Amino acid sequence: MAVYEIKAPGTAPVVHAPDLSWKGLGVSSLIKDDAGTVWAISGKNIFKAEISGAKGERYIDSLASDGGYKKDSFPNEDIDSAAFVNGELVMATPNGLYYVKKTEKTLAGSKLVDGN
Amino acid sequence: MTNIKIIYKKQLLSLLMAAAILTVSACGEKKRDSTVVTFKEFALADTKNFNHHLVVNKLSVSGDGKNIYLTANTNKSLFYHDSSDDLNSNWTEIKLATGLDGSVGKAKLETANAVEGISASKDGALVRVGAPTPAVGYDANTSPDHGVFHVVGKDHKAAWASSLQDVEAVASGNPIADPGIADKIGANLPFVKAIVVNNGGVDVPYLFGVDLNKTFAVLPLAPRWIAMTKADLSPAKIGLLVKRDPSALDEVPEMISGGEYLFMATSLGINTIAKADIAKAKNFDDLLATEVGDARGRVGSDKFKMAGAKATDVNNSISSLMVSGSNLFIGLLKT
Repeated sequence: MAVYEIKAPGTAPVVHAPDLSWKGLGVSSLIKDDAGTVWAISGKNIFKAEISGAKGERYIDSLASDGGYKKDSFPNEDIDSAAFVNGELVMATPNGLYYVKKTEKTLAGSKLVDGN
Repeated sequence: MTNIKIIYKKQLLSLLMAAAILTVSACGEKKRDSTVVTFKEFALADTKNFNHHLVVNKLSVSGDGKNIYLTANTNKSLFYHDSSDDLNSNWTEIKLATGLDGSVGKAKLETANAVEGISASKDGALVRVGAPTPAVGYDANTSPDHGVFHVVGKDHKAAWASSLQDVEAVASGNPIADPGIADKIGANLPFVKAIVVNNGGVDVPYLFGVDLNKTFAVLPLAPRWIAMTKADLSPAKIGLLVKRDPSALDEVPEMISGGEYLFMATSLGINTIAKADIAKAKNFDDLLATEVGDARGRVGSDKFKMAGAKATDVNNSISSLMVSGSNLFIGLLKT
């Protein structure tokens, strides 16, 4: 990963060297979420691309910290391409299309039961 | 006096009880809110959505987020979804043959057999179709249709084949360095890159053809790129924009529009093209001004370098470009 700061013509551009935090990781494609954050797809993972050029957090880890997200449902597949749809990640893989499925459950006594 | 004290005590007790009831009530509301838990998980969409094709390939979402396009079957099939919540149903296959009437800007593309690229437009996508790999010796009469179509939702709105009918053979206002080129453009020049560029809020197609027959090549193995564009994505002829390029552009794995620039990843690194310069240029040489060595192109008069990178590290390793704010993010196949 490298980041180039776009400046007006005639202005010296600022270019960051490929950051060493990406060493050993190949980036197949870049996607952007609704907030303008850029994410890099690398094999079976998705990493935040920092403006500094450094490798940021894993997307799945940010999901896990969000609560109510089944971390173990994250596909262990190579990701061909991905996009954010309605704020949620959708992924095309050799095993098919992964999408975000939502399930509501209700707390009844000490148990969770299907709320749909 | 004692009676007054008793009354005060009763009132105080009542106030305390009321406060306690309110507190219990508030806690109860909070508890009720917390009883519904929403779980999110990644689920695999049923293959029946994609005509039972298991492998899906390219995914693209329109700029407004309302239209999703996905290829499957080794990019030979294209599917559409309206981005409603349930992505495990309601996918519609979009035919690569457009069903349009074949008039100018409404090419039929009846024999196109694969999606080669998708570029998101504001409310749809520009889809480049043709054969999976353009081959040397391309013959417009026998090869599958090469072209692009603009789709909004699941409906074809416009389409252009790489034909004389759809591509303007005469340069519009640009002097032609090699007059012979004008006669050939559109005849044997399948599009090899098509992107949507937003100019002042209007989506504009930028198409790039390559002379696979080497009609204009100085060197036998040097393909020649031809750039074309028009004012918007409505059906009309595509005009010639830039005549030809240096042999350096034998491969452009990625191209993206960002702000005032087009960014092209090439075998020499990233070429940065100021949009304002495109119409004035006679050829790609005027735009790119690449240098042998560690320079990777230019922004205006400034060199664009990958500081700290060896020439061999960066060449041929750019996989993806993304513009966000004032930054160009460059994905590398290896670091």
